[in-house]
Amino acid sequence: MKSVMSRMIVSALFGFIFGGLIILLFMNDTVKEYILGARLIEDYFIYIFSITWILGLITTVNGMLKSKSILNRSSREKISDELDEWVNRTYYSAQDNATIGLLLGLLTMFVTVTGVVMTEDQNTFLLLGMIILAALLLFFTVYVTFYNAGILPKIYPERNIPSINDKDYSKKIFQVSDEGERHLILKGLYKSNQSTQVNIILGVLILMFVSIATETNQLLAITIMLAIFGLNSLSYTSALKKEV
Amino acid sequence: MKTRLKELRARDGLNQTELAKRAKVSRQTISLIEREDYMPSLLIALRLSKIFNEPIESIFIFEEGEL
Repeated sequence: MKSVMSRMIVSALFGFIFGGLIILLFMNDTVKEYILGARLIEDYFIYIFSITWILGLITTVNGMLKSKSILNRSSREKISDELDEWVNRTYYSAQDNATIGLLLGLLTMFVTVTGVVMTEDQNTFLLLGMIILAALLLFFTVYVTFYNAGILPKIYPERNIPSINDKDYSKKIFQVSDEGERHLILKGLYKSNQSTQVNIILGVLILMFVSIATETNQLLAITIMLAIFGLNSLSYTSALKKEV
Repeated sequence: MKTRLKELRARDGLNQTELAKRAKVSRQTISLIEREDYMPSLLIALRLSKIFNEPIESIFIFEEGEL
């Protein structure tokens, strides 16, 4: 009952916000001008804000609902191979949703801040509303990320999985993993580390082309990305050197 | 390395979850070993040997060149 209620509240909230934004986007120009102010209508960032905000909310809510379905099904059914496989797959999918939601939340905040800085003739009411909405989305995505991680001890109470509030959470979650799980973690991290290194270099190359093509200096961004690349590589070899 | 784990599990009527519980590992670890994607530690190999009452070398079969 509680779960149905919370789902209804989330759906109602989502419908209200989504509907409001859609109406705002397609309403008559005169009305829009009256509400938003003439200057902001010409600015593109309101549209990017709306799209990223809506996508961020959809993805994050979806991630939370997946976690809730894991809790519901695992409390109803007896543990089996099929259930355990489904729980793992759905859990990783919920984590993906939360991560994408968090990224979109950060992007929304970035778009808002950029908009505030870029817009000279500011509509204070609208900008304040956008900042509040962006902050709410960001808080919600962080909450869902923690919520998702918090369901593990409930699904596997026998495994002594640390609470998400534990200050050594990352260290302890690795310690309670068995050798097969550590093997999977190693494979996953090795792959993602390799692709991150390649992607950083690609990012630096793109920034260099942008610098040349637009004649805007991207040196700061390039330096930061190269510093991340260097730190990542050096921390890896430093960890290996300690074990020699 | 080849493994007879799946065959032995079927022989004793165990699913992966039940075997994992007895071997004190996760189901993913059993699944990885069965798919021959992961070679278990000696400790887990010994536990599996005890559960199936079979010597380790009859559960995990190595080719001549691997030894």
